[in-house]
Amino acid sequence: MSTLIEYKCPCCNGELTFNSDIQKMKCPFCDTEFDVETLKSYDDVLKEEFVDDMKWEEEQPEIWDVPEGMVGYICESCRGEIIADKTTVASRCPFCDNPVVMAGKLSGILKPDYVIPFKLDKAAAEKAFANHLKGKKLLPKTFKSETKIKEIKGVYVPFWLFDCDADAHITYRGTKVKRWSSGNYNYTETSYYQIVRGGLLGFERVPVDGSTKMPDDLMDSIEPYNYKEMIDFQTAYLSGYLADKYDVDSNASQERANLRVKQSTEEAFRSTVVGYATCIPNQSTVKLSHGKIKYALLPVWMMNTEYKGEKFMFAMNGQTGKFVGNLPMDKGAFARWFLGIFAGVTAVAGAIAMLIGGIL
Amino acid sequence: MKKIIALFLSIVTAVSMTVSSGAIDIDLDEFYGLNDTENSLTPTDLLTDNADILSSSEEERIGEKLEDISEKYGIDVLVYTTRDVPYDSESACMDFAFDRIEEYLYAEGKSDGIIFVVDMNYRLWNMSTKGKAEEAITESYGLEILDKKCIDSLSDGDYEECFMKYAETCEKFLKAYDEGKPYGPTRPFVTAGMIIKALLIGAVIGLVVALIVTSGLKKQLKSVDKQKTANNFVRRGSFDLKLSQDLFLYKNVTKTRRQSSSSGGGRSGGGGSRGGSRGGRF
Repeated sequence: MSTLIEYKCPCCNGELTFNSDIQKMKCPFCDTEFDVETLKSYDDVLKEEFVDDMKWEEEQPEIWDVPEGMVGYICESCRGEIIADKTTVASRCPFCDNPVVMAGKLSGILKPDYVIPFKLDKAAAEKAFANHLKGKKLLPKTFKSETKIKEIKGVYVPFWLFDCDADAHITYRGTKVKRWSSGNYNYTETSYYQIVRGGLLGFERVPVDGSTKMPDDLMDSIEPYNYKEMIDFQTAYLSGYLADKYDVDSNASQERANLRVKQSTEEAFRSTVVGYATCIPNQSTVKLSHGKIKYALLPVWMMNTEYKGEKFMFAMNGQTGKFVGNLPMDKGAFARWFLGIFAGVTAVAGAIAMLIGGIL
Repeated sequence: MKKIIALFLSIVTAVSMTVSSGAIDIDLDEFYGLNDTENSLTPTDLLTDNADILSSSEEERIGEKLEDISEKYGIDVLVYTTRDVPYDSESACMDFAFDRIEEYLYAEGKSDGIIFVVDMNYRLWNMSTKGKAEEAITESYGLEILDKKCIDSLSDGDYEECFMKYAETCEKFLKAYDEGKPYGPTRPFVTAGMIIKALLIGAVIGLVVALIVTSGLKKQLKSVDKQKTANNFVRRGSFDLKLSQDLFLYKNVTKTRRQSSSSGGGRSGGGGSRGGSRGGRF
């Protein structure tokens, strides 16, 4: 005698009953029929408990014994701390462009594990900025003439780099659709599937910037860095450049790393589901293992400017030369372009509509 | 033999004289079959609603309009609704239309006219032209314009609207013909309504294109965006799909009735030697 098992209908969640006429489970509410074996497999997948587990190994970098000759600056406005050697004069904060004050000897900061040295110089940054302004039809014409880059500063920005293996288990609800016509009717057959994908995906050195003063989106935009050129940290590399002191510890950065890792993992597994008309994720869990966190300084050229009372920040990847920074829009130019295109296309499309509409 | 013939002739003469004097009541029109009212037109009937799809006030309005146009331009504009087209075919409807208009023109002693026949039994329609109407409203151009103008409202059951549009469009064509500048490929028929419709379509397309282009230009100015994924940091060769399961659950089938093609299917044309013609189903 078999044990009485209760199954819920995958279609409407009603309680299924065994129909002896058809020898299948049938839902009394929506009339859908199921094989018992199919239901068992479906149920087994649902019963398994999958919970996100995205914890990282706590690996605390060592405290940095800062050598003589390195000084700290504190920004008057945003209270950020910048490190530079004595020979490098930092007169303005690279982030908010306000004056900085020398703080004296540094202590209690972490020693970076890695650094990518600057590959491109100040001249390259200036050239990249000029190129960035070219070809932008809606950029106000006076932007170039009225703005002056007050200081282009080479800054080492602190990043937390996350390595891990992601173990994913994702279920989807998919449909396949078949259409045909017969007699006076059009028929549509929709088949429903439960799809399960699971496996591993490795990540290395997912960067999350460790400075609150450095806008996350700006730093995201100058990615990626070529980690092949990343080397063990040495103080000598800082000479001539500023270094931002981290103020977001690794714990606080994990949230950001987790989001990116989970999103990428979901995308990778979703791409293995093919041949369906629709595919909607039902349940998605990601577990992390072999998580490592390292602290690195990555090179960025920072530029600030002001235009019509609004501050604009630009950044260039000091290794690859990728230049980013939002630009203002000339509303007048926008209106002129919009109206010009609208009028032109309306006239042409209207004339074509008249011709097609039946005067030929 | 001569006597028999003479007697016969005198009887015939007597009967005719008696009848024509009204002494014997025989309707000669009926005797000779000229009073077949089921499918013929009396001289004043520009509008005949045998299918009874118009109310009396609608009949009055349409009738007045048709009379007005016919008087003004000397070309008769007719409307005829029926349920008596003999076969379910567009050529049968065309023949029916030509028969009706030829009867009418013969009875009136005229030679120029256009008729719009609607058969409610097989849902067929036909417009046919005779005489000068063939030049004023040509088969290849004018009848096509009339088709586009009227048949949608016929399909929708707005009969008064359909026939009024027919009358108004015929009027415009006849006016242009009367002025010596008939509508055709060299002089297109354009109404304010058509211009407005074309401009609206153009404006919608213009708006969409303008939005797309200016959004693209605006995007040029934005180069800063948060990264949602870590795709650039995936360790090469590390993707390992360990579990892949596709389980069929159930299926369902839905059916919808196919829409029969409305006015648009199977236009027939070509009256041949009888005149210009265009027809179809609605």
